[in-house]
Amino acid sequence: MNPGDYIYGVQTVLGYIFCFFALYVQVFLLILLFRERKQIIKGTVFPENVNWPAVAITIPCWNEEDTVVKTVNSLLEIDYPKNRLIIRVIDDGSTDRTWERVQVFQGIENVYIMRKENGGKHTALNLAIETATTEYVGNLDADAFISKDTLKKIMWQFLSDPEMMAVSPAVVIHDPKGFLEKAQDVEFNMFVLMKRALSSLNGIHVSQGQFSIFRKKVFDDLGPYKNGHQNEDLEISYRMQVNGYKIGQCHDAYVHTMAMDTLPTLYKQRLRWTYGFINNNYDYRKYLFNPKYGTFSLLSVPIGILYILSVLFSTSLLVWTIGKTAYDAIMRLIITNFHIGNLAPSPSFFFVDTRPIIFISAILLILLITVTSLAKKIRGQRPIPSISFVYFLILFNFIGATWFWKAFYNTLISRKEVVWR
Amino acid sequence: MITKLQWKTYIIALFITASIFATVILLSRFATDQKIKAIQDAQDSIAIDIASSETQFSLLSELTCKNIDASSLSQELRSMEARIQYTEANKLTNNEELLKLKKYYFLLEIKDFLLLRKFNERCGSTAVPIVYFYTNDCSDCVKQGYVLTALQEKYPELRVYSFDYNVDLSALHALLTIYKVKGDQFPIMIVGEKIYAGLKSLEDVEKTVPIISKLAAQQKVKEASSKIKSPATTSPSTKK
Repeated sequence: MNPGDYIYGVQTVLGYIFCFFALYVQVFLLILLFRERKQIIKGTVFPENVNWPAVAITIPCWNEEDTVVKTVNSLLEIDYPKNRLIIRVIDDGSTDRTWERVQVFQGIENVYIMRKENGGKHTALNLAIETATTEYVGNLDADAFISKDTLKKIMWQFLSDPEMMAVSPAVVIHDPKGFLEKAQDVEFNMFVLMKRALSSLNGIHVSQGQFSIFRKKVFDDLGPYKNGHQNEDLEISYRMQVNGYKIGQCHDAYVHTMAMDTLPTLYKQRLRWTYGFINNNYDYRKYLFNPKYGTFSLLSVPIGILYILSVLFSTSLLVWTIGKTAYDAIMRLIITNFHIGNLAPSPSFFFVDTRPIIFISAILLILLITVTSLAKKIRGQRPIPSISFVYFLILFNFIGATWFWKAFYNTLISRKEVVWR
Repeated sequence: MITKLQWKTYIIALFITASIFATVILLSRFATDQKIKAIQDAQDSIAIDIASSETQFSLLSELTCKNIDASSLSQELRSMEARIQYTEANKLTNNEELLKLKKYYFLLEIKDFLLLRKFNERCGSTAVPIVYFYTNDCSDCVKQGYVLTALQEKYPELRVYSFDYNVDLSALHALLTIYKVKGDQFPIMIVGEKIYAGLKSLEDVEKTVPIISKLAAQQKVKEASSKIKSPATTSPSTKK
C-alpha cells in the first residue's frame, strides 16, 4: 500500500466515524424533541396568585459606560414584585465612566451599587453571592436585557420542582443584521433547542452567565465561582453536574443579547469559549464519558467535542483537497504547454458520486435544516429556512476552524488565556 | 446517573442511526453495482464490434477500405478507459473485480490495436497508434497521462492504448516481449516501433517524436492557411 492509499483509508474511516456520531446526535435530539413536543408548544404557564420568592440579580460591569444604565432600567421594568427583586450593580474596577453613570440609581429602592478593585468577572459574582440575603441569585451581563415575563417563567421552574438547582433562560440575538449577526442568530436558536432537548435528560452542560438563576444553596454547598479558564459559568455547571445538582432550562424565557458584530470580537469571544471548553474538559476529564454522571457526561460534552473535532477534520480535508486540486491543475497546465482541453464534466450518471458518505452528508444537511427550522418555530418565528442558515454553515463550520485551532494551540503550546473581554 | 428509561433513548437512537446507515450503504452498493454492470455490458458490446470487424477483414480480403470504419471503436474504448480509471481511483469495486475489468479492457485494446495496424497496412489510414505503459505507483505516469490526453485532444489522429504494466495478462506479456520493454523506467511510450522512456512533456513529444512532429507541422500549416483565408472573406474590401 502506498502512502496515498493509507491517507485515503484513514480519511475515509474518520469521515464515516464523524458522520455516524453526527447522525446519532441529530436523531437523539429529534427523539427528545418529539417526546417533549407538547410541553414545548404549551410553553411556561403559571397561576395568577403565586407568592414569588426574592431574587438578587447582579450586574457585573467592567467598562460598560454605554450599556449599563439601559440594562439596569430594563430590569426595573420587568414584571416581578418590586419588593422581591434586588438589583446589584458591581463595578469591577472600571477605568471608564461606568461608576459615574450608575450614580443615577443611587437612592432607588432595591438597587444597590458597589465598587471593587478589578479582579475578573467571577470575583464580582462571588462578592454578590457572599453578601446575598435571598434564596435565589442570578446575574445579567451589561450588554443584555430581558423580556418582561422572563424572570417569572424561570422562577416558576424552581417553584414547580424542588430539586431544580439552576435554570438557564433562552438567550437570543437582539435584532440580528448582516452576515455575522444572522449566523449567530441561527446558532443561538440552535442552542436554545438543544438545551431544551437535553434538559429533559438533565444533560445541560452550561448554564450560561446571561441571566441563569441559581439557588444560593448551590454556592453554599459547592463553593463560590472559580475562574474556570475565563469561563466561570461553564465551570460551575460542570461542578453542579458531577455533584448531581439539577440544571433546567426555560425555552420561552428570553434574554436578548447583542451579537458580536465584527469578526475580531467574535473570534476573541469564541476563542475564550473554546479554550474554556477544552481546558475545563481536561480538568474534569475523570468525570467525562462516564454513565455514572449522566447525559451531561455521556452525550452533552461529547457533542461539543465531536463538533470541534469534525470542524477541524472537515476544514483540513477541504484545504487539502483545494490545495491538491490547484497543484494538479497547475502541473497539468505546465506539462501540457498550457493546453486547455475539454473542461466540461461528463453528463453521464457513471461519474456521479454515489459513495455512502455523499448520501449521509445529504441526510445530515436535511436534518440540520429541520433542526434549525424547529428552533425558529420554538422562538415563535416561521419555521422556514432562510439565507441565515447558509451564513451559519459558513461561519461555524469553516471560519470557526480558526478559533478552534488557535484554542488548541494556546492550550498545548502557549498556555495563554484570553481575558474575559 | 443514567436511568433505565434514559438508556432506552440511547438505544432507540442507535438503532435508528444504524438503520439509516445500513440503508444508505445498500443504496450506494446498488448504484455502484449498476455502474460496474454498465462497464461490463459496454465491454461485451465492444468485444462483439471488434470480433465483427475482424471477421469482416478475414471474410472479404478484397473489401474496399471505405466499408470499414476503424474510428468509432476507439472512441468507445476511450470512454471505457475513463470509467475504469474512475472505478479504480474511487475504489468502486474490490480488487478482484477491478482486475477482471482491467484485463478484459486491455485485451480489447490489444485487439483494437492489431486491427488498426492491419487497417493501416491495407488501407493506409492516417491514424497513429501510441502504446503506453504505466504503473500505479509512479507519479510521472499521472503527468504523462495528462500529456497524452492533451495530445489526443490536439491531434485527433492519435490513438492511445494504455496498459498497466503490473497487470498479469499473457497477451500483455507478449506485447511487452515484442517491443522488448524493460520495466525499469516509467512511463513508457511506443510510437512507430520506437520506445520512449521517462516523462515527456507535450512540448518534448512534439519535438522528439517524428510522427507527431509531422502532425504538428501539418496542423500549423492548416492553421496558417485558415488564418489567411478567414480575414479575406470577412473584410469589407472584398465585398466591394
